[in-house]
Amino acid sequence: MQHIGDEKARFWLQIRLGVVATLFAIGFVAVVGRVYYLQTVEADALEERTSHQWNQEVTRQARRGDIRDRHGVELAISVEVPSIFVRPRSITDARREAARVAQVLDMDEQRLIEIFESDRNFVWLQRQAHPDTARALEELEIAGIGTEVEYKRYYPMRELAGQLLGFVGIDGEGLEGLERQYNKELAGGTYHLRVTRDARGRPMLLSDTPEFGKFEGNSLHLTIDQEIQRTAEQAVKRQVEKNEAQAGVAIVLDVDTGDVLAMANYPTFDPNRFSRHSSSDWRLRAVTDVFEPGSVFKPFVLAAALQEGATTLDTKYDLEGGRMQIGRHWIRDIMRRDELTAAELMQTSSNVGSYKLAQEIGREKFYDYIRAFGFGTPTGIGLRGERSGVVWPHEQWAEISFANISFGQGLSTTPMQVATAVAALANGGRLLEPRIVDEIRDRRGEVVYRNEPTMVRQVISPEVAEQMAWALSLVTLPAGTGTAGALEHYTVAAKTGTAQQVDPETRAYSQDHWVAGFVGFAPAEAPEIAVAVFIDRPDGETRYGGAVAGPAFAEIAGEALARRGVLPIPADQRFQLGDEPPAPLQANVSPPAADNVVVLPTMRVFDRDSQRLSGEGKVPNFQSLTLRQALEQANEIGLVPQINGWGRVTDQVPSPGTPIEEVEQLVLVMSPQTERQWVADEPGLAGSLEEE
Amino acid sequence: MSSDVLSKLTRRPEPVARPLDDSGPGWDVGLLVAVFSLIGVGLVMLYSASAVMASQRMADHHVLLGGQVKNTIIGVFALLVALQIDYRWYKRLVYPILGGCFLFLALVLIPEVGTMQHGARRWLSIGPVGFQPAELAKLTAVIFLAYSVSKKGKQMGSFTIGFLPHLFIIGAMVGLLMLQPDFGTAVMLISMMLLLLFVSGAKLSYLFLVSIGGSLAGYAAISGSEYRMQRILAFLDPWSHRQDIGYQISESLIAIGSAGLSGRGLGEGAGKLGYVPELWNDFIGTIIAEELGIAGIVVVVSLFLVILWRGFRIAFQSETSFGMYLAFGLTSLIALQAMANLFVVTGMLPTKGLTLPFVSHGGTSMIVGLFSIGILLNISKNEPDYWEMKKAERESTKERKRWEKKRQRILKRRDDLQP
Repeated sequence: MQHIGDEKARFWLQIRLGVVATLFAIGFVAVVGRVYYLQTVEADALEERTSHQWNQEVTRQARRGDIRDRHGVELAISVEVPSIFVRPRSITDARREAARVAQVLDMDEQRLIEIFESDRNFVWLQRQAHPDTARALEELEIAGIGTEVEYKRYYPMRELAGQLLGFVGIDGEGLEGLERQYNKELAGGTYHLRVTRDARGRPMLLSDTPEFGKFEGNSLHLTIDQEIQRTAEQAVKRQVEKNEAQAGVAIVLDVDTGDVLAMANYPTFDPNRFSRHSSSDWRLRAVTDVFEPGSVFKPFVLAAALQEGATTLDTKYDLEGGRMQIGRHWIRDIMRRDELTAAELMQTSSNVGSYKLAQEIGREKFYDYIRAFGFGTPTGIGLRGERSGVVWPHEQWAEISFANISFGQGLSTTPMQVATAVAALANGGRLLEPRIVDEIRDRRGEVVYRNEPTMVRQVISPEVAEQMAWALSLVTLPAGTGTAGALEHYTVAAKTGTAQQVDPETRAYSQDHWVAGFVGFAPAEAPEIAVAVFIDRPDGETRYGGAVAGPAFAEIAGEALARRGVLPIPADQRFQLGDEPPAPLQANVSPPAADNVVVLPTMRVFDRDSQRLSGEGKVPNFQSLTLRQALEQANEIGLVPQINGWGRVTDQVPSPGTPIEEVEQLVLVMSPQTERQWVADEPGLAGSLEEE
Repeated sequence: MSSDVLSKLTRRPEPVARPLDDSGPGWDVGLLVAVFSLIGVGLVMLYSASAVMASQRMADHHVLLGGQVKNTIIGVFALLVALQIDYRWYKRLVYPILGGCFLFLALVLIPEVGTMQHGARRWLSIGPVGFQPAELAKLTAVIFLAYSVSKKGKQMGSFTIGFLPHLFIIGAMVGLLMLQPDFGTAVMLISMMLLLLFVSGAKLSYLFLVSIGGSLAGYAAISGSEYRMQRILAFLDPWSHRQDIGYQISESLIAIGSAGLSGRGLGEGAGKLGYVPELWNDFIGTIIAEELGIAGIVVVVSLFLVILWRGFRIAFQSETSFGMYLAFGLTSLIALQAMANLFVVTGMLPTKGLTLPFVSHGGTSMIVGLFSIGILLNISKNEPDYWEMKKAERESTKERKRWEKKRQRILKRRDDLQP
């Protein structure tokens, strides 16, 4: 600045330069101040203005676990589907975009305009849309409209075991059935995800993308066998329709483990369309409906009497001409007989005889046995809404009540209770907890929970159980009431029932509300499965249990035996069903078993591989195996099969159980899985009408 | 004779050979450090801002970064060249420079030569090289103004001598710029003129009059153009114009504000995901505030303040009047542009299309900017005017040659005369 000689001029120059410098400095500081202001005072307001929400913390539900049957067939699965949303604040031209979107989505244009012009931040346009729709919409490239992957619950077998499975709401919450009960296990975790969106609302960068899989829900493996379940449902449906009934239930149990192999309900329910059904269709009648069991209850009376040593199978009873007066009431038999043995009481289903048996046991003991068979207590199956039924304490019984209870009226049970009690007769007297959930597995297939077979108590001794099997086998003889339930190659132990129900309004027995029942197990000599069928309010030609429920029983039992690979018992080992019970079954019995609860974790270890082998040196059952599984099996027995078709094995030659030495060529017929027909023994409807 | 007289004339306290025996490089290192720090910050933020766009549209996330690095290297060469050229040459060559500048400004308007971009003809392509004459015009204007006001000295107070010529030349430049149109640069030029006239002692009343006139002309320009009008409206109320003209500024404010004081972190900003258009260009300040928070802005502003300080210091220490005004002008040009840009980004000025010097993406502005820094550094050397110093020598040589010629002629004529 020395170039300016004049002191005064230099001073003013310096001042002017200083002024400019100061102004610049102030300007720069103002920028800092402004940014500070924007980032503190205005921060929240500006944050709110971000309609794009570019960095969203999205909470997503992980994929829900599957529900599978005992062979791993999927009953409920979750599939990825796109859901379409709009961020109305990002829509620039509501009318124009609405017209474009309306075409693709098949939605009302006016409604869309309303949505687009609203001040909302986020609106679902279509949940769980078709992938093609979503793609078409994405091609429009409208800022503010996007898709989000959601999971849709899908039930590939449709109404199969619908009530048991229940359903899932649109937000992935289990609302009914097992879906609701095991929601925590199935749902899996939620994960938080930072989704960064570009200006069009497309997710762009996923930072810290988590391993979605580790949040996936566990899968539920049921004891249900979907083939048996299907047969049971079809059989029940057929019988309900044929007899103009209202509803029907069928239960199939594995008598040794308590596994519920099938639990059929009619009317059926398709969880894929749950909203189209009324809530009464959601009911799992097998555990939620109580009814008076009627004559199917009589075997438990006889079993109690035998266990108490109060009678033997060949003890004769005077039936007093089929009618008996108790106070001012009468109890009647439908068939008039004068005298029958205890076993024949089952065959003809005599009410008078049953009352006499009960009298021999005595009220108190009789009550104890009723409770010991599980009546009046939940079975422990662990399903929501299970009812326990009502058994009045014996102190409150009038004489007529006592008589009524002896033939199954005046107490209420669920179908499941009857089925487990029948299974106890079949398996040597052990009352088991029915199992519906076999295992829970994590996403890698590792078992995280196994539901072990659990015994509640020993109710009767194995000897009494065998006597019962023999006695009940008489029921399916041509002279019995349950002929319709007979199977060609197996002895079936069964009991029919036609139970009168109380009209809840009049509190008296109704003349047109009956429940036709048919319970039993097979093969009688070495029981494997127990089946209980109940048809509610048959209103056709007949209402009798044998005719209404019997055919369904036969169909279901036949299917279940075939499916389980149960071989017919050789003729020389089968029950000789003459007038007299065979000598070994006449022996009197041991004292009652302890009634404490015993848990037997390894009652019957089910080796899933050997399960199919029908025995050493015999051809195994290849049914429903995949090609790979079938080849492995065949390889184990040293056979190279000839394969026809593809899918799963539907037929085989020779049949299971043929000695391997006799096999020249193993032929496996395969067909794509779905709706395949089982070749089951068609039950003959021939025979007398029961209880006549 | 010369050295004594010269030293008296320049009243220099130190000996002539100062650059040679000084321990430092002889020019302002602080300024250079600040500039390169800014360029460094700029490259990092430029990459952060453009990588997403570049990888989406050009399948290479380095495209813009590579271009900017190339521009920086060319700019550094320009700086080194400017460092070597004695700044007094700009004074001596001011009219050719001015002429060249007018030529370019005129050329760019010819449709076959100038390239349209964003609705304005701003690019001039000569062979493979393209540049914006507007950037050149700013530099030329500063050189001319510095030359003119330093020459006029005490006559600056007069209207006809100190005022009208500047108004005329700058007005002509502004007129050409408005034909492009380039309103932002035009405003910059007028501001620079007012600044330099103010500093050099022009009468405040004249300046005031020019400001009024300029404002009226500006208003006419704004109201005469719909997009300028909308920009003003968008500035006044960005939110109601958010979907159209106010989009850029709204999104910029949202990006800055919603990031909070600490910022989102380097690379974490969201504005670059297509929300803030031209983020790597005019709105690079947005991503700095968004990703680095207030700290980033403080750093950038501080670096500009350092440039301002060093530049003014160079002006104060310059030994010539032209050097002083030139240093002041160049520094003010950088500071004014930076300030205006940051004002736009933070919503304190309407959008104008000005880059942030040394930080924004842009070839011409980077090269011209570094060239200006080279000039500043050259001024800071305060070298003696070797050209002037050798003037007497040159003239005596010339004189001698002329005398020699004359003598030869006389001698020849004498010989001729002598029979």
